[in-house]
Amino acid sequence: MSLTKVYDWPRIRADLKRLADRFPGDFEMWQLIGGGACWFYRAYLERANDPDFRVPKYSEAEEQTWSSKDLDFMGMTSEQAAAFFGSPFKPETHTLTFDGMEIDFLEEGLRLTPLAVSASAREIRTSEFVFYAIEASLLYDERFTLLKVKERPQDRLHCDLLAEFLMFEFCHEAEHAPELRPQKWLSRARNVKTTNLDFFQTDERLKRRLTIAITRLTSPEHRGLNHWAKHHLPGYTE
Amino acid sequence: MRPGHIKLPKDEAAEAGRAAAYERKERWKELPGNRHTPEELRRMSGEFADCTMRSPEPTVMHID
Repeated sequence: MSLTKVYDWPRIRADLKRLADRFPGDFEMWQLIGGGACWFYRAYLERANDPDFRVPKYSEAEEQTWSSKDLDFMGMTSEQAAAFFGSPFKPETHTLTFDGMEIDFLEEGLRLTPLAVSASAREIRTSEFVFYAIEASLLYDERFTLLKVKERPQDRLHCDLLAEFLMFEFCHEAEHAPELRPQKWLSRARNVKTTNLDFFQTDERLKRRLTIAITRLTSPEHRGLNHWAKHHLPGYTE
Repeated sequence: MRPGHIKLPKDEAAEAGRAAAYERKERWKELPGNRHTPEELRRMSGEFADCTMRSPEPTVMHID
């Protein structure tokens, strides 16, 4: 039995809020992963309204592929989740149904481990509640790796969107020096390049924006980015 | 792991004992509890799934 694909961002947000209201204290221990997290980064990129990095215009068929069938989390084992929600996992869909929501808890992925996901999770604040989502570069790593072993259309769409989001974020952060946290930026850049060796090599928008932004970073605390660019950003010279 | 500055003896007696030591180590590994099966490792890994560890300074984002 396959599930109807109903989850877009408004629906995901609504169900996250229901879970946050229903399970305060527990909900904060879970991390949104999978298609739900991709939807979050898509919604964030859309709202950023960046002149270069944008959510692509999707065809109807692609939008249908974007829709998710469930909310995926990490933070509990399947057995723990079944006991917590008092609802068994359905073997055919690997989801449990709770109060009309389709929920899945993943214990590990190709590249995802509980520790890596929880330790690097991003704190997402809405006006009504807070949730935690998987770090974008880690999710990109998972999707990029998945595509090496299996070509599924949703993974391709998710991977491309996450690449677009990460490019936007690298540029946006480098362009806003007061809020820039150099060690986090560099760590993320290293991770993304480990996933995809060509990430900083091919996209002209990324190279142009980063070259301008990093050239303008002149304070000692940003020296790490200048050094990084010298070695990893084609065309950058000090 | 042995620190690099502590060298293994390379004399004949040590070489002669190498095979016996390897056999002894393998016997020890076969004793119950000394070697985890893939299933045990998977189960133990799964038990960590609810150990949520947060960065003290997570990346914070806002959306509505």
